[in-house]
Amino acid sequence: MTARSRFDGLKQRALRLLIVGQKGPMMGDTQRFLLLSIITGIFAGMIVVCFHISIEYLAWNTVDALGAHNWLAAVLWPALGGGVSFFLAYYFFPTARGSGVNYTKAALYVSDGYVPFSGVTGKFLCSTISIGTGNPMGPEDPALQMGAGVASLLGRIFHLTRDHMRLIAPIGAAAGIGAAFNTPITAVLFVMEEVVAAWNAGVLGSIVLAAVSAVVVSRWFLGDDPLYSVPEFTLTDYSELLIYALIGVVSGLLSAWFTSFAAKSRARAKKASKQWVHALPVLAGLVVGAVGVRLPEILGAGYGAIDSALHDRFPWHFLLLLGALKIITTALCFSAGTPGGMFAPALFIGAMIGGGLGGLAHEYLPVATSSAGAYVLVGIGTFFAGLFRAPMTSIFMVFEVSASYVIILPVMIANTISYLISRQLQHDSLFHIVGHQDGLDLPSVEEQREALPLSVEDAMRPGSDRVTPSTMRVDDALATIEGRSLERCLVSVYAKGWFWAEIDDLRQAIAAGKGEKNLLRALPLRNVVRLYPDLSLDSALRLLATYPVIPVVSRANSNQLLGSLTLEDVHEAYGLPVPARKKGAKKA
Amino acid sequence: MATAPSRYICLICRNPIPAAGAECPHCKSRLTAVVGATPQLLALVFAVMIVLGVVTFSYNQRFNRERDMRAEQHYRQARTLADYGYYEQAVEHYTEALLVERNRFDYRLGLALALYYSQHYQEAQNQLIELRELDPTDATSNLLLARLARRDGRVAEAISSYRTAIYGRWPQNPEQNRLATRFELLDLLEQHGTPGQVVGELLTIMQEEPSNTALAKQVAGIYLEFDAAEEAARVYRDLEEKGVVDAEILAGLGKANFELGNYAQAHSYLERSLRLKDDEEVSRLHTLSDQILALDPTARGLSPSRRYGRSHELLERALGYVDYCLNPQGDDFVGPPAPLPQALSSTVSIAKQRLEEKKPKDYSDAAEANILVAENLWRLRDQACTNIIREDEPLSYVMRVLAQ
Repeated sequence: MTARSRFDGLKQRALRLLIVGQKGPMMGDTQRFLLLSIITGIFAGMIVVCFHISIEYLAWNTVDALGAHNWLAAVLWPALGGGVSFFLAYYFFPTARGSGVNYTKAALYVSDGYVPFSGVTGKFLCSTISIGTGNPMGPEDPALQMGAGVASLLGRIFHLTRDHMRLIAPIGAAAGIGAAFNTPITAVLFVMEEVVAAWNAGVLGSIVLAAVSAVVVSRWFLGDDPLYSVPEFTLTDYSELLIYALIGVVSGLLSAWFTSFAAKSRARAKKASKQWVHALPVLAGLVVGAVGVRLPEILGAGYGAIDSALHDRFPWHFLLLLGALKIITTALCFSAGTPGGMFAPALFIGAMIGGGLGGLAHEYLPVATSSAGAYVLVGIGTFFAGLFRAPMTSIFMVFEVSASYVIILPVMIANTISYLISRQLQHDSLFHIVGHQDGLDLPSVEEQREALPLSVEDAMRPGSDRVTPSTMRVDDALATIEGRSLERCLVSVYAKGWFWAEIDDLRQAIAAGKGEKNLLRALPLRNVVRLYPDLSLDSALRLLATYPVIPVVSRANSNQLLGSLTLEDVHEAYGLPVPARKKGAKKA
Repeated sequence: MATAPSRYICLICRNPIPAAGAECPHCKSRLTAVVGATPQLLALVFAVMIVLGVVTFSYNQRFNRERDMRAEQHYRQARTLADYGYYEQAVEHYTEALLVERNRFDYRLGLALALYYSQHYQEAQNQLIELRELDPTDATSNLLLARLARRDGRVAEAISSYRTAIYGRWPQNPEQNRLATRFELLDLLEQHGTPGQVVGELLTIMQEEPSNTALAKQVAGIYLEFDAAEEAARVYRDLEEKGVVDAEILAGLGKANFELGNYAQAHSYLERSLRLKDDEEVSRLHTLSDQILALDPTARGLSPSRRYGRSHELLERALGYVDYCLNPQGDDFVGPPAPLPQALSSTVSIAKQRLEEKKPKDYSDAAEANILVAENLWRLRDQACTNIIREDEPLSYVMRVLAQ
């Protein structure tokens, strides 16, 4: 065999490992889906690296170069960038407008996994221009949409089945956000918490593979550093937890207000005339530029400012000022439709609120409190938790970035309080409201998580009034069943389990002269399955199609009857009218 | 019209099936595979991946080069500003450099130093802690941490950081820097440590730098400050033996001998020192040693009559000391004297009798008796002198010698 033919043979085998062809599939759809998750992660990782570099380049050559020497240029850059990026998105890349999270959710619930690839190029271009010129938006949400777009394209190329196609967009989203944040756990959790409500092994495995491969690619190019270099965190005194709780309260209140304000402003901006719609990003950019001349920390994603705050570079009042100004400028840009995401601004605002309040506490209680840097770190996730309603993501994000076990307790307290307060004051999350405004009625994962589906316990009829002993005579059993207005009964047979019988069976047995015999001998007893009270009503319904009455027994003791379930019980539990009983059911 | 071939095939028997998840008419399986990813398509996807990888790589390389350049530019500006003392401005540039190149140790160290010298101590400490995590052996960051800890009164932490700095890695002039750091540590130990810690540190210095004369003089001086006269004398003697003799060494030897109770030697060294260089403190000690030697009745080579004379004077001064306490004058007067304790009263009487005694028959016995009474008086003086302190340095030193 020549080397050439040997190589061809190897090539064919390798290809057959990856593809499904008429000659013989070597890989199932699931394996192919997992492989595709890795490929998606690699693609998303590289695109996000290019995106990150492009933003940096633009920022160096605009805000940092001219803006640093000329105040007029510093004012004008964000306005110019906002205007140009909005123009491009409006006329050339309409799919680049709106939230990347909502696009991913729409792919999952509406469009069978379809995310237009123009959204990838559009988000790349528009968000680079907008963030690179200093508009206070973040690159994570665009990165998420880019990941989803790449994944969707690959899914279409590889002709995935519909179920896999639907899931491929969230997998790409995890890759995108993982590469942008450089935190794989956060990426996985965010997608599971905000986009996909299901936690099954197949989906989780694919999301993890995609996120990890994207982060590996990102780290290979950009280095292992987390977003911020985090100083060592210590809890000086347990009384500090009160201050962390206060940070949670303030962040929760502010995030609720921000959601309401941004949503209303956005709705108003959408209704404005065309001229105004075009002018708003420019005006918002001018405001940003005017603030940025004196306080350049608020420009762009603001990672540098957070890093400085973490190292106690700013006094507490300056931190609060930065937080307040970032809230205003971000809300303005977001409402005006300036391309970019809300993740980084949410982290910035939370960090500044935390640092400001913590610094204030440290000023008056220097012995019992840590320096402001520790509060900045804890505060990072609080506004995020309130704004995006993703408490788990926010907690693990800080944990992952800080790599400190001590921080978990304050972070959990602050983030959970913020989340609960925000939810109490503002029912819908920002994504949900934005989706509504864009005409998408997407399901809220938060509601799905908290929805309590009816269980067998909620519908079953407790007690044993549908049960007839197998030793009872047929005529007595018929009288009993009719007395209870039943159409069928359950029959318990010692050591054999549960059976069921129709009332017509009893009548036929009596007509056949078996009225004096017991049920076990006279009737054709039909075996029946058992249900447990905690099972969902949905799973019980599937069984009720086969068995008209099912006993509900205890999980601890399957002989212990807790009740019984029929289709009528289910109807009643759902508040539906009970179907009319068959005519002559009561007659003998 | 020919129908298009199905995109789906059975995963088990590979026959076409009408839809995804449909039952295979041949093997009844519901496992579906999709036809579509042709080798060409797959190759294309990998080719695109490689192209994108190459593009990203070259883009990233260029970005890294420019980033390094920008960071270096900020760093150089920051260093220049710091060299001229503009630490606040230097901080800005160091921060910019670090934002671009977060992993550079020297950038962060520069920032920490600038923050320290611009008195932003808390921020400096945060940076230094990160530096220590990056390189625990770095001496500069540990030295600054030690200074900050000392400033905040965290003595144990400061000592630990100083020691790490001493044994750490110095980028330039390691010997000089180590020594300077040791002296900073010594300074801290002098204020907050035990004499044992100070002496231990000095011993280490001397072991590490045995031939440094200036250092030896400095060390011996610190020994003297911490009542380690024996070590001080040893160091000074070593210097003397090496032929390094100057006023400072002679004065040091004089002081060390004085502390050790060798007043005659002390007097000699102090006198030699004064010949070379006049010094108020040395002169005072010289006079004092002179007075001690003149008063000491146990000095060798004294004739019995001279010995008696000195014992008489000693007793007289001891009685005078106690007598002053019993009858204080001027500012020390506190009212009529309280009744004396029996022992003191009788000793005072004996002392007076002995002083009134005319020429004794045996000078030696009389001198012994005088000394004994004087010692008793000195021992019991606290009963009379509860609130009053009267300075009589020669007497005190002689009494100390007698007690030994």
